[in-house]
Amino acid sequence: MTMVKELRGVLRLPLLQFLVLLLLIAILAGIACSQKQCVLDPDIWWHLRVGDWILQHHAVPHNGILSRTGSDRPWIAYSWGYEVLLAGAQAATGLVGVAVFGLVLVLAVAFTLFEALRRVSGRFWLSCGLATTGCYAFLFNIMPRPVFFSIILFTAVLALILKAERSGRAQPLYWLPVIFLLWANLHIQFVYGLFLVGLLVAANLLQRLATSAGIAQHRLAALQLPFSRLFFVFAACVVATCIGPYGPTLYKVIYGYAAASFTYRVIHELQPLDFRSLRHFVQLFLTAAAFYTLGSSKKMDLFRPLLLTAAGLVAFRTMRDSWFIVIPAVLCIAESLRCESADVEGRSFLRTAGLAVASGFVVLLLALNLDFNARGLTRTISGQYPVRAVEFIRSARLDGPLYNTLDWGGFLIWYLPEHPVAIDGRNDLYGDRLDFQFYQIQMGVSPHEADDILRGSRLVLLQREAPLASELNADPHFQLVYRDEIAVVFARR
Amino acid sequence: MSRVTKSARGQQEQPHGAAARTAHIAMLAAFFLVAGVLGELHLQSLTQTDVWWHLRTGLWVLQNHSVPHAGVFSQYPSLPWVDSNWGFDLMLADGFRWLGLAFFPLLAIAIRVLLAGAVFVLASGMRRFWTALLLAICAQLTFAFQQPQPAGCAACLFAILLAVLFQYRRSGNARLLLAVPLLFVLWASLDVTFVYGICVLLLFAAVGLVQERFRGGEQDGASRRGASTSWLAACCGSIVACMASPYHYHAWGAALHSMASGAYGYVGELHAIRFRQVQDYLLLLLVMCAFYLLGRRRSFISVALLAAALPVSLAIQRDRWVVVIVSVAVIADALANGRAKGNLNAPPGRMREALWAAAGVLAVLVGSGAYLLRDQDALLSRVAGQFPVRAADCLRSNHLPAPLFNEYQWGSFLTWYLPEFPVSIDSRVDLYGDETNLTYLAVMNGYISPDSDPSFARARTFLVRHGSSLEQAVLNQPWLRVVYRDEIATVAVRTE
Repeated sequence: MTMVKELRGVLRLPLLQFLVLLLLIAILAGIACSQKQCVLDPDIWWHLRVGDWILQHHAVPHNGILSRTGSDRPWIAYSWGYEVLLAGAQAATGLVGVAVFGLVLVLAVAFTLFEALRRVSGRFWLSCGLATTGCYAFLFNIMPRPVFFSIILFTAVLALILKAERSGRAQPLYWLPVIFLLWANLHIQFVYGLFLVGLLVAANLLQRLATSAGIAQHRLAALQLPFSRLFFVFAACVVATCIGPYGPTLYKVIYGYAAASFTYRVIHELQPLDFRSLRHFVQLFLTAAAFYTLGSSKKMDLFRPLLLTAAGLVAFRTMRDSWFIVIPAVLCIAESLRCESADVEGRSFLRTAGLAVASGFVVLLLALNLDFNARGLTRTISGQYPVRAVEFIRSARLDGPLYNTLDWGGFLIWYLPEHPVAIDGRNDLYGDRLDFQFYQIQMGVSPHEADDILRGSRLVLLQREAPLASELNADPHFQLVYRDEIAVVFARR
Repeated sequence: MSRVTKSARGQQEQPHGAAARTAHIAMLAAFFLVAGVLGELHLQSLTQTDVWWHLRTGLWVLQNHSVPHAGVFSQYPSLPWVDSNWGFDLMLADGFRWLGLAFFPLLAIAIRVLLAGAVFVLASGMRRFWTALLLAICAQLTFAFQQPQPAGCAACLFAILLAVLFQYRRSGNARLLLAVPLLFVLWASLDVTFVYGICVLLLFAAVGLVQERFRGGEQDGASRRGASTSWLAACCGSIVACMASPYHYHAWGAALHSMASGAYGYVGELHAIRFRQVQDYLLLLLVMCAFYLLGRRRSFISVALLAAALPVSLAIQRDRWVVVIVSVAVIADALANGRAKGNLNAPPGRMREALWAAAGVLAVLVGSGAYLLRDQDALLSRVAGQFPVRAADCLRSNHLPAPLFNEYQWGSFLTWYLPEFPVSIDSRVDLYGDETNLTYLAVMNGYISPDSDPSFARARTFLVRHGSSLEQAVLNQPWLRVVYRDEIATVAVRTE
């Protein structure tokens, strides 16, 4: 018994908790530095170039810039805020700035989740465990991109909602319009957060109706937050999302994404969980555990089950959205295991600043030892993208127009800006029809001779293993002018 | 006072009078009818891939009075092969001899109705009519069995097994466990998934033994003293019963081999659930509902069962029925435990009525189906809309030379329709092995030249899908001459 008490005392030591947090941050940073996903994402490059364009023109684009097939199509840079920040990081420190920006985003997501869990549960060790499990489930499914801002802000919004519900005061929710103003200018998935607030309002209304009708009164928890204030906050959030260079046009893009179908068949991150990786099972069991804990609570409210259900339906559809179920799930679990006596707000500024400084030092050490520098990053990029093929094109002064594949379009926008790309990862710009056309040609399903875009191209840059490359090899109209272990370049005869 | 109120509430849930009972039976009959017929309106069972090799194997078994041990009907006759579905194949072939192609849709209907009935009974049946009906409808919507296949039979047996095990846990009546080994004798002859049943039985037994040892947690029939002997007898009996087949212990070998197969990486039905259709989401909701109810009414065995079934079904869409049936059982058990137990002791005659309703519907469906589907030519023309019937006729009538190179999706059909040409590949992935299957897929996807596939290189006749990339590849070969082409298939022969 004494030993247990002593152990509890040790576990409460601030220094031990500080060191554990530092260790977790070091592990995350170590994984991020060694994988270097922040420079492997095919989309990050067009974000970077668009950011440059915005800084250069002091305006946001309204059509398909940097593309030869989409230049006359309407397009908006809905992540313009992120793109400007990324371009700023690159302007300041070059490629290392881009990588560090991604690394900071990874760590910020993890820390936000931990902090939200700590505030909801009041337990350090539980928060550590759940944050680690949650991060394991979703953090490395996707590469550091604007969606990371969505994850951070979603976590903050949900934590504020849970805090408001717990305290019975609507004041924490007054921050939401400000958050949404920021969010709508950083990433399109602000709509997930808006859904969250809308669901809170709807659940509150439904619960009021159920109570007044005398349905399941003994099971439903008492409502703390007034409906009128919630509705006011929701309306303010909607208005806030329309404040920005694009105004309400953002909602048109959301509709376009919702109606897309082809991308959900071929883009890897939009595929469902394949359950061949442990992290997918972790996501599954976190969801199940969250439902289990909701069921075990004496009183139920409608918001949490509805949120978990809706989030589950969305998140199991695509790997990219895993976070959308994992975060509510871990927060629900943490809430059900909440320690009422804990002081959850009492993290001093000094302690946070100390953690930040120590983390920065540890990350620096890791970066130095894991080749996380300009040379290492360039080597990593060269292993995945056609760096040498592009240098050949540039040195041989080959003429366009260029034909490229979807996977490399983003990179070519950044690395070969003198040749506008045929296609890239901006699915909202090209649409299902054009994406499908490119895919069919690349995979050799449709005859390439009949493709207008390929016919109008003088320069073709492809993955070496692409079925189209084999076809062009046998096509007398094209000549293979360059080949390495990654890419092949064809020029029209 | 409260006891009286509860009892009165329990009474209210029972329908009073003959009219209510008749309404329930009619509703149930309508459900069975819809469940049986809905998937078969366009005779989908005749357009599916796997059923044909089951038929061919069944005919072979009938002819040879033994089960195959090697790759019959394929170009790899020396490869070892265990037909884990020999009982099903035999049933299919026997029915085919009586009713011809009409037996396929009839068997599909029969399996669906039986499964609907088994799930309804598992979900407490007439004792909690509306809950059971709703759960059975949800389950039926998520199953998506499109052809008469062994997995449908396995699902029925799995539902019966769970019903028996849960009932034993409630009542402690050891005689119920006597039926379990018999169930496994049947199951092991129908499908390799009998392993799932054994795992579930072992799980129940382990939990029962632990509870008897510690006498804590749930106090139910299965944790009484002496239950351990019953559990051990049931487990040992069932494991031995699975060997009561012509393959003896090889049935276990085949089961383990299929689990270690690399086919999970490349066969569509062995991939994870894709969450692109409504029934996938319905399955997820059913499972989450089960976990939610478990939170209210804690039961270790239910949690363990659901936690074990969930990853299996989500990782392998072919086995989605496992978690659906487990969820139904868990929800029904949680609801049964959560309310007055008096309901569970409703007169057995009510359940008998449900079973009679299922049997009646089945008889009507099979009888009317047999009458309506007596035109064999019309059925074959339905098959010809999906499979290369005319191209195969061309091969046969022109005496084109073997060996044949065929599409994967057609291999099964060709084993039945064109038995004189052993197939280069078919859907028996366990027979061909990963190397052959992956080489074929690489050719199909255009990643390697067709000549790299030994079966393509040695073939003298080629039967490929019209409009496919493989057809393009075949047409590009100067040493191949197209001898037949229709809107489904292209036939080419080697001219060298």
